Amino acid sequence: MRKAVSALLVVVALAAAAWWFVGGRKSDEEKIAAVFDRLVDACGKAAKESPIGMASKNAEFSNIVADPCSVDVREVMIDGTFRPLEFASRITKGRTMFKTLNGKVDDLVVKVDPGGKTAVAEYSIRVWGESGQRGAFDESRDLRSELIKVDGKWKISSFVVDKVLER
Amino acid sequence: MLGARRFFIGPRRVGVWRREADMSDISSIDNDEPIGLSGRLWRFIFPKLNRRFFIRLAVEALLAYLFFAFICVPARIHGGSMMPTYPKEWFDFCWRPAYWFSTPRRGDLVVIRYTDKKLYLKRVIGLPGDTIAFKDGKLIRNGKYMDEPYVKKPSDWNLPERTVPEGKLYVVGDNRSMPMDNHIFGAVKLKRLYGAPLW
Repeated sequence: MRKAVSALLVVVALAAAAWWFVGGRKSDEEKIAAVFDRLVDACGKAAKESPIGMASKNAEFSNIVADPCSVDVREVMIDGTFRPLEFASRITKGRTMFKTLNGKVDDLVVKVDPGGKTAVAEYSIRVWGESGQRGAFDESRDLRSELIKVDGKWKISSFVVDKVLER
Repeated sequence: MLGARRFFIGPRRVGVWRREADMSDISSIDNDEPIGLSGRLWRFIFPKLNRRFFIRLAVEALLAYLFFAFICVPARIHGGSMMPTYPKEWFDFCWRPAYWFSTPRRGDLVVIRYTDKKLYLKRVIGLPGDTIAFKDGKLIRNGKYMDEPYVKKPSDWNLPERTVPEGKLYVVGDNRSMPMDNHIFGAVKLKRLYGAPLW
């Protein structure tokens, strides 16, 4: 009886380890989705945000965007090719124009190259909040991003933005 | 058989779970005799608050939620880009299955998902591969002037020719009398197609 219980415990432990091993290893698609979630969090602004919170968000950009990262969103203020620090500085500058800023990534479709070193993501991003000039706003854009794997981490190397309705 | 449950099904009656021991308490509307219109109305307005009633209520609430959240979504129209087909303020439902098994045709009214809570009601004027242009307010599709009976007011729109990309639809509102810069229209991805207006 004791042997049977011991064997059962070993089987359960092995199953748990296997489950943890398989579940703990995220696919590239899941890792890339997490990068976009972190990007949205880092760009957002809460109504009352401490300077420390803002600083920690800015530090996060070096883990999100590649060096360099090109931006083509048809907004003169943030278009160009930037290093992560420059990117963070632009975002910080842009954030000051808003009282609150929230974002959400939808319809994410990721295509990872067979080599597993680069990927292309197509998605839409919804941005809403309150700006100092325009008041409340709620907008959506379709985006296309290229990602590269740097030291095992996925980083975004480009953003190209299309309007939802493009004339 | 004390305590056993029985399910009464009679003509034009709602089934009621009852303990046999309670049978003496059943009112006239639970008898086998058919009840009148006033009795049924009374029972509809003041149903018996038993377990069966609450289960039915929960199922109906769930079905109603699923229907109105995913199949027939209520929407308030706000804005004059579809005048005179639709007034500036209106209420409609978006019938989502409209394009589950088919693709839109030219001239169809479609609902486009902009954000989670913001939808656009537009008319399809171009399919993938079509060329679209406006000259003095007239639509030119694939090099031919198009007759658009739903456009009632004069327009002065001018837009150079462009080709509708693959995987997109070209949509525009019916109110071409408003300035072109104030009118949201253009090519939109097919995956943003949300459904069609119910009426």
